[in-house]
Amino acid sequence: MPIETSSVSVRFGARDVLRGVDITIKGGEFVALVGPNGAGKTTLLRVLAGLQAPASGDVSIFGRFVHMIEAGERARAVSYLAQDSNVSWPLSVSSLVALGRLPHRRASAIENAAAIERALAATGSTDLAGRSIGTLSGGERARVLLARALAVEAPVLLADEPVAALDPYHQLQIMEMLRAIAGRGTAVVAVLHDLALAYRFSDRVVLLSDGEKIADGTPDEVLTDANLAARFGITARRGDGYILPWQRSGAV
Amino acid sequence: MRYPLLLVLGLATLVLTLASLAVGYAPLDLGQAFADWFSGSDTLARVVLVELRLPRAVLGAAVGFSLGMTGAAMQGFLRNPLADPGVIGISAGAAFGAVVAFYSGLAHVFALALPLGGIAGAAVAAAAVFWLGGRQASTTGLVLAGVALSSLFGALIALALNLSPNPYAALEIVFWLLGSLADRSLDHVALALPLAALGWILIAAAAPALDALSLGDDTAASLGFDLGRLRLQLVAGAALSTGAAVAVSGVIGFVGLVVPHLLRPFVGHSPGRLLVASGFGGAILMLASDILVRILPTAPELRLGVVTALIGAPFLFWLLYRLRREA
Repeated sequence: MPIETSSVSVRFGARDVLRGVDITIKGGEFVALVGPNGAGKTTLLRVLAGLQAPASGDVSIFGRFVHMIEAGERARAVSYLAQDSNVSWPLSVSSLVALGRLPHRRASAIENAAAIERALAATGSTDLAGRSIGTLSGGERARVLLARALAVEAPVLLADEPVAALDPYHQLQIMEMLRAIAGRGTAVVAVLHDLALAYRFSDRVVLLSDGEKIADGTPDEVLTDANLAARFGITARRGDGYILPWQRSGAV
Repeated sequence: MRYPLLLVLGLATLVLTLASLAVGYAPLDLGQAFADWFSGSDTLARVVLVELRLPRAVLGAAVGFSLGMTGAAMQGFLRNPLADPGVIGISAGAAFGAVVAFYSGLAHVFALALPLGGIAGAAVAAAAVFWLGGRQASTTGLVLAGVALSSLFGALIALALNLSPNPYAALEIVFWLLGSLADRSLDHVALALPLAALGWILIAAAAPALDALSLGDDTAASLGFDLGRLRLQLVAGAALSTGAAVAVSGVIGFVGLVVPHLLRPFVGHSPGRLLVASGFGGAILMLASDILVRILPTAPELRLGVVTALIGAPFLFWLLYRLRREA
């Protein structure tokens, strides 16, 4: 399995942020990580990326414990797209995407250039290559940052709220891209707040609440009326292949 | 783009180093001096060149390179264009170390006590900043530790001035602090250059990590960089290069702030590529300033810290003006 956790727990001070979470991500699978604010989604994603060491439990990447893997090798196996889209300096798009090649110290310049080109093409950003990141619109910026994560060409892509702060057109665009990336064999895990998008695009939904995994299965199995009411405090309207969060039904 | 820029800056550094050899108070036939030096004849020209001009030129280049490169590293690491080599307290520590050498009278016993004191001060400051804002603490913690240490060392320097036994001792300290490369010897070069060069290597090796940091701590870590190690590497690099620079020249401000700013657009704003370019830029500014103080008919000679501040402060005004126009 590309990535697997067994009873992972994380504690910040006296607070349990994750409690005994087991998940397994397969290659080519698009998994949506959902849950109310403070459920532990970002923490779980950081644990999967090796950025947060669990207080207990194990994380393994392709069958090897993550803490046994050298940082560069881990970086080549797992690509992480942070929620923070801030870039400190007005880099050009091509040099920003090239940062995704940093873990590949031994790759030749030709290999790196080809990977950067593929990442730009996969996100429809080839035309932006010469632009400065500071001149991009929100949608263009999201695509370029995704291209940076793709340039790593890792078998696992972890994305923290990749469509937050995007308009519907660009939300759909990024979701379609993530879907296509999974279609090419990459294991994709995305933290999503938008349940409609999670339902429509993912193969599997993992529902976290209060640091625990509540449900794990197909969108229909997880985003049930009972789970939406109990975990999100909402009701949803459903139709053929979609759900729409509709009304608050109680306090969370 | 990359290599032509480094080539131009490197050549300019070389030319200014040679120009620095040609400028001085004692009349000197540079060609004759070199000829004497290489033929081994012990003439006055050779002495002026090797004992006076050469240390000054080499130290000018090395000090400028250190300040420019460390400034670029600190700006990249803290992701803040207003950071300078002094931001983590190293400069103040080195200055205080030198002041202790003055104050204790050691500086008058043997000439190298001053730079040795400076280096010891830089080492103490680096250890303290790392202990206070160390491996686990945030970047903010590191900066806070640096500011606190700078204030403490500043206070201790003021205390030394306050308690100085006579006005001449105080004046000597104040003048030294203003920065100068006059009357340095090859011993100063032998002491400072290896340390500074080690610092340059440590800092230059951090270039990929600084590039990755443009995307934030988490993304940099996800790209395989150990941020705790990077912090240690940069604090050590800054301590060696800036510590050695301050120890032989006094506190010379603005070079490490202004030079990275000026050169950043020419390296596509990449913090990693800025390091060496900014080193050369610092060397150019320092050599030019040091030539200027020897050409200007002021008596006493203007101090380097004064000249760089006079150049640097208007630059900040210009930056402010540009920001307001963009707003």
